[in-house]
Amino acid sequence: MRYLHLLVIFIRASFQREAAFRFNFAINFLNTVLNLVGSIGGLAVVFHNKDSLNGWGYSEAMALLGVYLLMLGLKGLVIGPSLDSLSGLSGELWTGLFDFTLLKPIPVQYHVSFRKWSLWSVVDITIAAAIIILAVFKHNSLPSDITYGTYILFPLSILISLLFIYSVLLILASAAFWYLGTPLMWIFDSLIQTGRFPVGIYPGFFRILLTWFIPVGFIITVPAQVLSGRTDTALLAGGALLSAVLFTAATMFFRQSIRKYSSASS
Amino acid sequence: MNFRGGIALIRKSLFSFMASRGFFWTLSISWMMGPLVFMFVWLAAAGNGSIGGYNKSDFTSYYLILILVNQLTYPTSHWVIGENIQLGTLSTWLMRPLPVIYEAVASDMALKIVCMPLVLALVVLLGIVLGFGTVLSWTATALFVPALLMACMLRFLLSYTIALFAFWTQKIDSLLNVNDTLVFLLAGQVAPTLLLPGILRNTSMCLPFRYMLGFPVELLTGKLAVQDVVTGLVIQAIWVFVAFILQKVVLSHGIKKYTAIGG
Amino acid sequence: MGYSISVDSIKKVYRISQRDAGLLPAVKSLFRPAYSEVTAVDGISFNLKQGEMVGFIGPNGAGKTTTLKMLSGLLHPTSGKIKAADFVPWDRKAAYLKKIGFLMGNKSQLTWDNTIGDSFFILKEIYGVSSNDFKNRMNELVELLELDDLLKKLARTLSLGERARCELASVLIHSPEILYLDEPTLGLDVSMQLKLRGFLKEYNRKYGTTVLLTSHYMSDIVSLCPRVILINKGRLSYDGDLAGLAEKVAPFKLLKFRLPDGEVLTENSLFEQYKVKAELVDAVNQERTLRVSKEYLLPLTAFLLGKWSLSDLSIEDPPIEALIDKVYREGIPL
Repeated sequence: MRYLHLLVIFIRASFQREAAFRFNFAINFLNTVLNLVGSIGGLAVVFHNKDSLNGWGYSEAMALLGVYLLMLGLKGLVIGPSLDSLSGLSGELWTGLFDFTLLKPIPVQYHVSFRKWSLWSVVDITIAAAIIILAVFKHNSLPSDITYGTYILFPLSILISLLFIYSVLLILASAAFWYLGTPLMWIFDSLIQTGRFPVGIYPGFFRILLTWFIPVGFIITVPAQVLSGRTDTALLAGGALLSAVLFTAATMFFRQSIRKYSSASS
Repeated sequence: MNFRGGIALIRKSLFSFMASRGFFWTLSISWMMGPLVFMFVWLAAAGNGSIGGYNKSDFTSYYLILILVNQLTYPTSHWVIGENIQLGTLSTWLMRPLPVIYEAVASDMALKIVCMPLVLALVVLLGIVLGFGTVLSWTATALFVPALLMACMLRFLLSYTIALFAFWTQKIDSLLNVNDTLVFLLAGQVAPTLLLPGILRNTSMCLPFRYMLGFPVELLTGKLAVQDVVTGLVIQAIWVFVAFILQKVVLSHGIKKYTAIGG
Repeated sequence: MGYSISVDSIKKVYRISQRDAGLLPAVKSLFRPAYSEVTAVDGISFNLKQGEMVGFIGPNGAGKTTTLKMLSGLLHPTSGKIKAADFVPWDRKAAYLKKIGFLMGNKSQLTWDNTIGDSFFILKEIYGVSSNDFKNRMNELVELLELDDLLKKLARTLSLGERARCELASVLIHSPEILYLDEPTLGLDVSMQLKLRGFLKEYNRKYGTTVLLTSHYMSDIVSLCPRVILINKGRLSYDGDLAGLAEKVAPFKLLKFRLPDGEVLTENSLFEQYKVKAELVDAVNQERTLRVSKEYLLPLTAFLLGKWSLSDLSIEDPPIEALIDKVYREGIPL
């Protein structure tokens, strides 16, 4: 299909851009390593002193961290950079180049969501996957909970989380059309940090915010629960439904934002 | 020291930031997220007991003050400097009868002034909700002031110096990211330095990062013994001095290269 | 119908929110936002046949760019109809978008950090141009616009002139039927302007592309556009050829000659003695420039040649810029 072919073209173009900066490569590597060390280190420091955090043991918390890093990596692979090139700090909406995007004979939402790839994220994703595997198989408490069901449910929960992330980012990116002046994308970046740890550690109001509003709880904690064999099928099903609803709402909001742009811009 | 010029620069930045304060307040809130997350983690971990001498109330005080100090020491101008060098806007600054560094300092100060009200309000709110336990002693507060000032200078100078590498290389963003990561890990956000295990703690004590953020906080919350305070202040002063020299060297070399090429 | 572009009573009104400074008005505006309306385009109609090259002129803020944006589908009009290449532009059908090219003089659609060749390739893929067509296109454009050395360079390393050529090529890769050019020669040096103009003329002749072009450089308009459409304050005030416009606005000519040494000539003396109304526009040393309306041209010339033997008398049209300036300021006399 033509759109798949275009994806390849977009990936190629991004690769050509990134490959031009070798210095960046080395530094990216350093950054990834540092982040990794820091994240695991932070976890180790906490568990150095305690056996469990809010009912999560060390290996389970490690698996959660792995899921956190995985989702960050997946977001950073394409939808993050692409939507950022629209509404982020030096995005098209501010530089006035969005008109060119509108002039292209391909669907705007598709174009704007998939055109920019950050291939370095593949490294981040691999590392995150490694952590997950490490956490699940190295520590004793988990393997007995892994069933064949997990192999199906886990990827499914990751997909649902991805859909959540995409929908939230799309809504934030679209909001920039209405409230010109504040790139809002980093609201997601700052709130997702709360996903490093089980959402249960946050007090009442905050936890509700993080489960239903910016659904960090769904995005990170649910897949991690699947890994620990604690799948809450009701929550998973609810999440699937909610993510579909959110996706529809986000798409509609995006369309509406484009209409606003074409009716009142100068 | 051209005070009038400096004040004028601050005013200029202040007014332009005030106009987009929504933008900057969102920024401040995002800076608060990191410390907040770890605060809740430690609160959950400490439960009703204590970890390494910190109980629930200690953690709350530590992190709330950390949020304030973070806001006060967080530099932002360094992200823009690289761009200015690349685009040639630096030339405008070079023409002024002011040292180049004034622009960056002024911009940072203006930002802190604009964001402080919001952050202070939120911290006070959180303090009321979560319970702020620590009593602040007069000596601690008195010593806190120089420690805070040096922390500001150190954090600013280091980021600024790294940003100056834009004179030589195209993309310094990744370098700045590394700096931010190191600050995040070693400056006392993930955990108060005292709670870090052995080797990590000792390394932290020597590296400049703790002195940009964690040290003044630890000082104020009264978790440091007297000799530790003194040692800390001395190390901090040394690092400020080193950073200042480093900045001067890099800047003068950089400007030579810049003006040789023609900007 | 037969028209490539057909614009019918197109109108565009913007609502701009208004608010006085201060806290109370800000709170008020939350409950009852105040708006003012700006009419950017006020009922414009015109038709273009396939292959026409038309200049769109008018002062800044007259509504030219707004009209171009409506024609390219970027904006919805408040009222009115447009048909271009048999499509309604703001439906933004892919088939329509493949038929048009829009060059914006002050903005670049080339990817900043990719090579020019890569940018072209990406466009080829997005527009669905076949590899064969693309190869032929590239050969032609590279040769005509001299892009050989530029294909391997990154967009951000190009000079303004180089980028202008590449931008123009980028907008032609998919062989559009209609070209919208918004200030295509902005900021370019004289040689580059000439080159681009030559290229556009040739391209239009060869491929019969309909071209709608705006420019503040009258030399662009004069050399490329047999027909001009004048927009002022959102309204169309003239649609025809440039010469006709000049006729309407300034039915006069410039007479330049050199007074013999020691001789004097004044406007008053001309009028009183010879009933010739002429305006002295320039007087340097003995060079004189007189502005005279067409009816007095012959009598004046006859008189001057009769009185003195002038070796270098020339009759010129007033500079187009002066005319256009007059039109922008005073409108078209009825």
